[in-house]
Amino acid sequence: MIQQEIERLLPQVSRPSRYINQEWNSIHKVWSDVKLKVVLAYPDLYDVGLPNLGLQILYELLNKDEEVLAERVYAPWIDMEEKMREKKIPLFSLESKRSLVDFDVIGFTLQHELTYTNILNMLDLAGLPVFAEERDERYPLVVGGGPCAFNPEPLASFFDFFVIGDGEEVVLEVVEKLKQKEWVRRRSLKKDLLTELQMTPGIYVPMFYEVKYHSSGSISGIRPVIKEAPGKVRKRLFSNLDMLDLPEKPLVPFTEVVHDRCSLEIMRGCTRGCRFCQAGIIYRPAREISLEKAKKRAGELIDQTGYEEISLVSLSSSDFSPIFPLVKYLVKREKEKGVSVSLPSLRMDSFSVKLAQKIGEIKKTGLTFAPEAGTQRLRDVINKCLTEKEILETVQNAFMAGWEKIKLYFMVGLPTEAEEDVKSVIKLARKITGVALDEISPAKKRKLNITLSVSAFVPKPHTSFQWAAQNNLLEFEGKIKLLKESRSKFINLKWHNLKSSLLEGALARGDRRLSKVIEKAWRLGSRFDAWSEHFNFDIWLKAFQENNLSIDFYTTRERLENEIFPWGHIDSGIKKEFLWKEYQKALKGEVTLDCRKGICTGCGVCDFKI
Amino acid sequence: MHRVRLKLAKIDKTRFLSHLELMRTFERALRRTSFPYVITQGYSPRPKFSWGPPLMIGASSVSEYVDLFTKGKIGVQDLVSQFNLNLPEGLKVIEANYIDFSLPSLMSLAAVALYEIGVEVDKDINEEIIKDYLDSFLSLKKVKIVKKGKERVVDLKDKILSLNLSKVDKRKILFRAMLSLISETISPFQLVELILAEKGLNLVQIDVSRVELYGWKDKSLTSLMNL
Repeated sequence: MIQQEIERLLPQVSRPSRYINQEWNSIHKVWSDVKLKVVLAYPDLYDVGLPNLGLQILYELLNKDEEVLAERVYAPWIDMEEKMREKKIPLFSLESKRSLVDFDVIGFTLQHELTYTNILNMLDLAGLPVFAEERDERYPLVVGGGPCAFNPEPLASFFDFFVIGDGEEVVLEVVEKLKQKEWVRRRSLKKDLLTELQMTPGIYVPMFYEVKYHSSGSISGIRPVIKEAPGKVRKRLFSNLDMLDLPEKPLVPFTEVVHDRCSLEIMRGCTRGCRFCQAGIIYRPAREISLEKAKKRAGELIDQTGYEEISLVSLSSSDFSPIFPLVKYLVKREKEKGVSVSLPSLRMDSFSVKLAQKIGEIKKTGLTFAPEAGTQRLRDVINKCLTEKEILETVQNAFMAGWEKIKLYFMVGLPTEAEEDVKSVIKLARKITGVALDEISPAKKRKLNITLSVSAFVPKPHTSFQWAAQNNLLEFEGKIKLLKESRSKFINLKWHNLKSSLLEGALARGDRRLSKVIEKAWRLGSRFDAWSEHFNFDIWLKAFQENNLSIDFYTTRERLENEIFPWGHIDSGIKKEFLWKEYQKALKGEVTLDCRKGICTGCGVCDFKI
Repeated sequence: MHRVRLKLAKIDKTRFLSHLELMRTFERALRRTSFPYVITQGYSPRPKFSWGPPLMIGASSVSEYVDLFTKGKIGVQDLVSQFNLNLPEGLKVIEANYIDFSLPSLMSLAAVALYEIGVEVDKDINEEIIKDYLDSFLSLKKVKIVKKGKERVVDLKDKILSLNLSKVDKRKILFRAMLSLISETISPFQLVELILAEKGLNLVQIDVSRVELYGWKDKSLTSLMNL
């Protein structure tokens, strides 16, 4: 029995509760009662994967169908993998502890590029060949969805198909087809089945497309190789967010996880138009739930989970129209029980400080803002639409209201960035320190802490900066050095791993040829690349080299206007001309205002008739 | 404010929860009930609890103790059943009792734990041999134990109040041990290692279950539930 064997391993691994399931609200169905069995896979550690909202929505959505069963699996940590390989225990689902091969479909959440080697590792641990073409109809279908599916090309060789865009409806359509096709009885040939599935809007089957390259390495054409396949795969859009009552009963883990709280999605998409932001484009158009629905759902989520905190999730929480009434309602409802509210992303204005103060009536939390760039010029380039006056006023309000710690996010390596822009990050932080010292009481001065969290800019597909060159390692290192040299008292500087940002950049804008690179890196031992203690850049460089590819071609090369992108056949609904126009405006430092505040920017997404 | 003492079972898969995970799980179960619990003051308010001594990961237990503080008095039956509706499989409230608010904390009362220890070895073994092993072990008086990388010498009679053999069946041995919870403790896992050290036997499996926790009352050991 696999269950017993697993339990024998558990005392020997770190945090065994990651592998036991039985979490509150986990769903256990009888294997023999269903027609179709799906396992939802998150290619990172349990602690990172469990809170993922997309996976939790699909978990409940699929399990609502009596004929379908959905279970979960996360990437086992290094120590567990070692034991499993030693004892020849295949990768198993948490709920029924069955090998992944026993399922009909394995669905991966593609949240982040640096999880790609974990996908291969999980397939291998489950006993599946990693390449799709080596898996016949005896194996489960391997499908991917989530933000990284908007450029699925580096993963093209490993997946049977991808779901592009919002999954809520398309996943059910696919499930219906699989049930009808009696795929479960293994009667249909895989190619016929995939031909049938790709008729569903939003489904992309990479093996039905052929990619050709210029001798320079860039793409000369992407075209379907079967007549049924569309030239472009349009993303799916779930338009009425107010109708989505999921998750109703989120999973409550035993162990501490990264976002250890229940989450209510109050808004999907954003109209701000920051030019570096991929989420801001691919989740367009922005959709909100109603205040009434938000109140009802938030209360239910808290009651169903017993969590000590609820997060009101959106790309820009302060843009949710009735945010203040919602927060006020929740603070009143939960004060007695001590359940707190958190907002993941606050715009830098005095309204946000007012919101944070309201939240602070239950639990005092830290304040985090994202000015992203140090100078007005560069903030205009990225279309942040935030002035220094607004920044300083916001922090002044915050210090007056009693905060002594503030965290600020910045990026280095943004297009057009000069030395002055980098130095200005610290200059701005010093001005903020100055404001703080004027506002806070002398007794509190010792506690003053301005944390600057600096990341290396990664140009992403479907954004205005998809044409832009990423900085090389030397440039990034030079910029971090500049920051380090000029920091001063009260300023705490943190930065992300620069090499991993370069890898992220290559994979983000990569083409199909990177499948071989990913496979090589994995065979050479790469996994958990998002974890700095396991990330090994040299392995990756070697993997590129062995495939006669240069990482610079993908990262530091500025693309031409008419270049065919590897994701050219994936349609986010946003016009390429709009993005190019925005890129040109960026280079001139011109801003484009939020379309909710006036003129339509002509991005093209509203053709969807929401 | 009222103080209610709960005795919990932590069995099956929940034996893999750490003490901290148990606390968090219990706290969230409490929030799912409608009990008028007391919350702590300060920056991050939480329900007011006071836990008994922690258990090692991997051991099951039918004697996890926690004191809960409530604003109003809830019927004991109601308390037990509501908790059990809201606890994940494997965790269960076995007993609840309102106790005097001024009693010392569980941590300061708990002195001795009774464990049931099931051991499976890789060779058949008989009762005589095991009894010999136990006798020679108990005659040692002092033993070396390693705690957090540091070696310590402890007096056996202070640490082991009793050690009995319950059953031997081919490769399986069942012990019952009363172990001290006061400073420099010997864990049941260490105990098995010490008994079987250099005996040419390999451990296949070890199952530890904490049966009861005791404190001293009028010079006799009394269950924490009755203190």
